[in-house]
Amino acid sequence: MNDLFEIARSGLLAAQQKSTVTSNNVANADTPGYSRERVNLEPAFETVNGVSKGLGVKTGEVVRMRDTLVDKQLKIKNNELGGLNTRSKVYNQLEALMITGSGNDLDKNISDLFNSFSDLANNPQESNLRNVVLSKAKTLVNKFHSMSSGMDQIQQSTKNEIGSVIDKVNSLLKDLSNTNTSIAQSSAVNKSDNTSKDLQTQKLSELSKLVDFTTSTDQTGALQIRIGGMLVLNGSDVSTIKEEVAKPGDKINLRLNNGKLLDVNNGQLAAGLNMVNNVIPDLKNNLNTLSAKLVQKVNQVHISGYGLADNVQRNFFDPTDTTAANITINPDILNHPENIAASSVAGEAGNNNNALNMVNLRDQSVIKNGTFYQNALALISKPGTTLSTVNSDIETTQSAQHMLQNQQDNVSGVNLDEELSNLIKFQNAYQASAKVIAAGKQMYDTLLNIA
Amino acid sequence: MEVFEETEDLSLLTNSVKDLIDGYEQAETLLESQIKAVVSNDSEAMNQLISTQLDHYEKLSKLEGIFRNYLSDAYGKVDSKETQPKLSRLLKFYQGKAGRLSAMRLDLIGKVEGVKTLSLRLLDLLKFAQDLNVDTLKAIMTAVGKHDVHYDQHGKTGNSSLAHLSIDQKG
Repeated sequence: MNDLFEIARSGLLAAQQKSTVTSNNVANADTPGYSRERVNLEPAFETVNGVSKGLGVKTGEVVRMRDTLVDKQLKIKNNELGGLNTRSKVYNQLEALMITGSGNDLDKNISDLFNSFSDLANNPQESNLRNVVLSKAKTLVNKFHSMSSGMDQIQQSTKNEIGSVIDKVNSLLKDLSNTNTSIAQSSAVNKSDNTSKDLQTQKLSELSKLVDFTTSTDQTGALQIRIGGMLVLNGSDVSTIKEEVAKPGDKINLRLNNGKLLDVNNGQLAAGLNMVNNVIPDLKNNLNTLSAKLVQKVNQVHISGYGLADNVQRNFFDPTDTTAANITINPDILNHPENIAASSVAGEAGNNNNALNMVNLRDQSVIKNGTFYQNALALISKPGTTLSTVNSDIETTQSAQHMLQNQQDNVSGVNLDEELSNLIKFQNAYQASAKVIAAGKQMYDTLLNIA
Repeated sequence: MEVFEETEDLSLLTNSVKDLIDGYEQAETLLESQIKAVVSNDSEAMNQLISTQLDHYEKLSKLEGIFRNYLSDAYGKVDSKETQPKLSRLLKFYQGKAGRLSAMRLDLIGKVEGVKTLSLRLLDLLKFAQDLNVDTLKAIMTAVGKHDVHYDQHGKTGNSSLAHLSIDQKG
């Protein structure tokens, strides 16, 4: 009979704990990151003289319902999506810089300059047409300037973003170190700290958007994190990350506070670094090559001709600094439209040969992508083309991520209807049992009466 | 009072008591299984055991009928005036010459009382589990702002409390 009391007592405790866990599940049904919990009920045994006998049930660990495989896949998708979103954001800015709604873009500005020389060739003495050539040249120079400074601004804002991403990574690593400590403390007294584990999952999910990493657990069950193979979290020990630039204009590197260089391959941080270190500099190089080539080729033609006023041969652009940021029109031309060299012979005002040579330049293949116009078009359309691919990848990845999230929600999410239907199912079983047991009571009394 | 010797008729009665003891031993095992099913929240096992329990009640009832018949027969031999036969009173006519039956009677009483106590404990446990369940259901309904829908006899709906969740109960 004592065994019976033991069984009943353990049953009451189990039922109480199960009820508490159900209530907790319901209370947290709409808490982001909360994982449904379940009490593991284990049969209790006592062994006397080698014979086991049941003592009811004991409440085991309160476990979190999560699919760790789906968590791993979600981490990968978060990581990809983090990188893609950063790339999309920067390419969006670059596209807006290079392709304006008005259509007044670099390709058109280049065409306009050569077309103005074509108009001048029709009437080389006409001062209005010379002013138009200057106006188109100024517009083109301004476009080079604005594109160059725009790229600088985008590069700087992306650098700032990298700084804030690094701060976030460091802060998350610190948070994860704290959850490691809480989990270890609970583990030391054989308790499961599911709240900290949920927090850990949430922080890992946030971290996976920022940077690619691998996780493992040490002998004590504490989480270890490696970024680029480097151990950055070990129990409560955290290595912080900082950015480093050897000298202005150099690439940004990442270094741990223990002095080791850090490599990142995916996530927001890696994508940001790739944009700042590679993509934007490449675009700037292309723009600078285009401006330098334009200065060189236009000057080459211009210096071989003559203006209306004298016999002096002049450059059209200032040849001292040909970068897109600093390209300028020769002041002798800028302030004196009559010095535009339309003629190939000094003193022949009606000669248009040099202007025609300039027009011919429009159709010459000058750089690897062909004419100036074709190179300008290739340059300004590159961010848009890449953006389209990136956005398409975002859609695909987001769809996969949603599917995985739904899978995880099916396991971890709290289904109120399920919790309620379980309780009602038990309620019905309890009531039916009680009715049957109560029915036996009269039979026992009758028998005791005649025995 | 005349002292009777143990006869063959009495041995039939003894056998029926033995069958009842076996039946109550099985009842005890069944109740223990039910307690285990309740404490381990195994609603499937609970439902299966309800039907086994009902079958077993039927069996116990039959065994009790057989016992009652043999008891009446035995009474007919010793004292036909008795209208309400009772085993303890019957044994007095044998004055210690039906020792085996006497011991088995005590055994049977012990078994029946044990099963009765076990039943009361199980009822307490079920009552506790039901109360706890209703409290949890109420807490869930309050937490999520849900109300179960009650349909009246005219098919109209309205919100009601959870009181009627104790289905199939009077009051």
